[in-house]
Amino acid sequence: MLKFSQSDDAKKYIVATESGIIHQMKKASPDKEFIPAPPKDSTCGCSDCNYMKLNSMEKLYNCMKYELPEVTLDETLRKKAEKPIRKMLDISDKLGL
Amino acid sequence: MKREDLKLKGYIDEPVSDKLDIKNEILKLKKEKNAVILSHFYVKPELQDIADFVGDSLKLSQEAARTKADIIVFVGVHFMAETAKILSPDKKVLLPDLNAGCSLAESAPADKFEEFIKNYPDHIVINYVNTTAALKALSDVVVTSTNAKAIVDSFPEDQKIVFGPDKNLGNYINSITGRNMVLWDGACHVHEEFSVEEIVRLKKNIPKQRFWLIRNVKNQCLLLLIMWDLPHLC
Repeated sequence: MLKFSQSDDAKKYIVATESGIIHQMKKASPDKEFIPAPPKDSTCGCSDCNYMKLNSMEKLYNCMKYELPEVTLDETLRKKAEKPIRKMLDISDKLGL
Repeated sequence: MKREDLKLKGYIDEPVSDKLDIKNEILKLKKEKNAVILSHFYVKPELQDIADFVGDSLKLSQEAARTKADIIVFVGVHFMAETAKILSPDKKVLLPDLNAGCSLAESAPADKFEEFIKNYPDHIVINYVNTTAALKALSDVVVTSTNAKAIVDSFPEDQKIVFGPDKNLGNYINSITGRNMVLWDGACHVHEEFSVEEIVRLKKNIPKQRFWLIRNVKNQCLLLLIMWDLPHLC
């Protein structure tokens, strides 16, 4: 979507995904207008992933200062989960994605 | 703050002075600790601007796999930080708030999914990357929305596939590849929220606007996208 918004020649776009990506679209194409597609039960005109928006500069700062919270995994589970991700990365590399 | 409190809250709840130049302090900590900051497209603009890399799940997982930093700070949601840890087990992986989950990942509990795939023993299992590590462990390959079609295409046409957890992305891939993948009934609540009626209204009012959608919104939106892709309607 980001690549498309850069290469396409229209001036206005309705973007129907999480609204955060519009920041990068505006940065890449400052002369274009990006309108977030409206969700069902809201008048705010944007659609936000509440989980993503839990991140803040303050939490990032504290997290880096104290090195917490840390995400850890059981090694047996990690190894099993690694195989399908490596396979995805290998296929993506081969296809130049 | 005590560790027990961290468990309870999911993040470090220490007051940060208004006078602190927080951006500068983050950059200093990053340098001191040899950390890399990976931010997803969906986080707030200031958190994208401070990152070493901003991208989608595929790009960020590629960066997590190749980074030489000692610490990976993932400004995104839990499954993404988990993916970084899976790829870089020797590095410390941090997530600013453990409460940052994913409704899609939560729509596929590993125990229920494991029961589900037992019904399809001759199928391979392809899962969208928005899943827990436990669900990835039950998969043959994972995909992101960027590479989903290409990865499905890399298997022979007669290969039987179970696709999860996002039924919208699965439906879309089925519609463009002519496959008949078995779909797990999961979805992302943000992508389910879009109102087809509202989008039609917006499009009618401003007919010259281009219109496109992420590939895993619900079916009705997908049909609209296909309609509007026709040149005489664009």
